Amino acid sequence: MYKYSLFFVFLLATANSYGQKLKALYEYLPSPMATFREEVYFQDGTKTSVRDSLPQPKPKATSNGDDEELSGSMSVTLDMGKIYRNIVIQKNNATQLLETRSLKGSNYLVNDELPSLAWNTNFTDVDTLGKHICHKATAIYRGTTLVAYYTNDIPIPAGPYKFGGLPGLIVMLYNEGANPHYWLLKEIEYPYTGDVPVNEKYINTLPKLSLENYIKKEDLETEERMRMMMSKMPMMEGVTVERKKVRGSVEQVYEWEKN
Amino acid sequence: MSLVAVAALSTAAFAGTGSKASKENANVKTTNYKLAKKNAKVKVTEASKESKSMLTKCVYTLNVYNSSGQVIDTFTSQTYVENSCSGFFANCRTIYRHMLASGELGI
Repeated sequence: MYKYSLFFVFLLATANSYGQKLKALYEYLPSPMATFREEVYFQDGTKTSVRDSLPQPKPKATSNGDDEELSGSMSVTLDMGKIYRNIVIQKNNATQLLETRSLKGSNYLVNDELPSLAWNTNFTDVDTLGKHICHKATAIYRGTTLVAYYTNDIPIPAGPYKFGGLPGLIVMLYNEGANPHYWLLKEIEYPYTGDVPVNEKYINTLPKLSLENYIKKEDLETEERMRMMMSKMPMMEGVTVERKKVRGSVEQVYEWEKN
Repeated sequence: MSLVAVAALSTAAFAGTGSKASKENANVKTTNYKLAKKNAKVKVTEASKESKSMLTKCVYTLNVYNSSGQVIDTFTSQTYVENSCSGFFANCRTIYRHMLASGELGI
């Protein structure tokens, strides 16, 4: 009888945990140039990630600019037109997900056939990040290696952007490579009692594109802007100017680019 | 030869943004070894500096980001100087700032 009672309590706790909503706030750093706020909601197996369209205001610089004067580099940000929030909706950990993406001032609903993430959790590394005891996991994703730290304290298989599927909530995630992106968990509301601030009706009215078509259009747009910039580079005696294309997104190689 | 580049950088650079820009540099790598006439007298003073063995290589990088904060392209300007790269860097910085301010980078 005691065993049955314990089993019932376990079932109840599991069902209760599954039904509870979670809201997690991540800090997303795609580069040293910008930091974005990304909110992740999870309920009944559906994960919704909402990333702000505008970067967080930068803290006031403490230096007087001497570093920049001495350095051999400079950074500029292109105005790519009006940008919208990036929303990712993934239902029941399905490989097909929907996301909204901006291009030339318009908002699109993009359909992504996400390759399944095969997480390797055979690591003994245990780190404490904030107040969470975290375990390491890695996975290969579109030409890059993801490194995630998740916590078993919150048994929700969610994480930032398109990532999740681990035994617990992802606390930190980054991709290895020349241009790493970082996601850091900042706040959690669990259980979360509010609503998910996404209007699915509006999202479904947006013009639709497959991810492949979207990326091809975006690459074309970027290439055109960069060719224009290259054509305006000053020609200087004895100075060689070289242009190097960079794909600064997490995704380095898409499925259709492999052949 | 190399110091000509540094000395002539400002004038040649701004002169180059006009008619030469319309060439639509089809090649990603471009090198210009033709001096504008107004800089010819500077060239004479540097005629003896032919060897690059005693020179310092300077590379100035312009990183371009999109609105999402992702790097999308880099432009590197490379030259050789006799001593410090600081003069070359300062010239590159001045040129890019001028181009940014006048909207010539399409930003």
